[in-house]
Amino acid sequence: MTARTLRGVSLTLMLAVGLAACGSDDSSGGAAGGSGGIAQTGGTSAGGTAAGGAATGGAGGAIDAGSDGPVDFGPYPAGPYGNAVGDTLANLAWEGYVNLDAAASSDTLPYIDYSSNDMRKSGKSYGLIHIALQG
Amino acid sequence: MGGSQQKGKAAIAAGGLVVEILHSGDLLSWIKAEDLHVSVVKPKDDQTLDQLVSREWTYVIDLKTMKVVWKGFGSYDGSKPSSVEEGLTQLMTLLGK
Repeated sequence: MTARTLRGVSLTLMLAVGLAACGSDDSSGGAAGGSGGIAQTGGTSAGGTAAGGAATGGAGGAIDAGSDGPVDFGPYPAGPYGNAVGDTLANLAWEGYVNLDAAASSDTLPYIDYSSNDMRKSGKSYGLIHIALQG
Repeated sequence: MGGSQQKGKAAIAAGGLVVEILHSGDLLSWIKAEDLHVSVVKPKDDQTLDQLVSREWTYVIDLKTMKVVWKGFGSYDGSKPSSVEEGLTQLMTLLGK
């Protein structure tokens, strides 16, 4: 092995140890922490740098925060559809101003596509739909 | 929505969703005129009115199953209170409020 190759291997190991350290710093664990653990097994160098660990640790924490993943609401309920009490509402497509927290006037919010399926995926228990006429 | 505005905000604060579908008219001018703090949308196709009949109808939906749990109609001429008032009361009851 040449000196240049050895230097490259050493830098790689230092990075690996740094990643391992940042993984163990992050108590939320998850994918990035797991990668750090794997890297640590190969780490024989004495010197993961603090700077490297800190930088990658931050990124690992951010990724781990989302490791629970989105909730799977499954497919929209199958028909037949109807509008009587007890019927299943069809998946209806709308567009406009979606206000989920009532904190601001709806005209200050972005104009987006929305649907009854989006209502379903909100995670809320119940919703009200009113057909209105301006006036 | 008028006087139901506060009840709509309260229903959202209680964990519900409130969606006003404008049968006809301009969304922005309606929102500004009523200072609406609920979702205000218009249909992208004819299916909404095919399914939900016409203006002045209100539906309360169980969002876990998408089943209609309450529906009500006001009146076209304003001679009866808007069905959204009673619908919001139903929604609040379902939300445990």
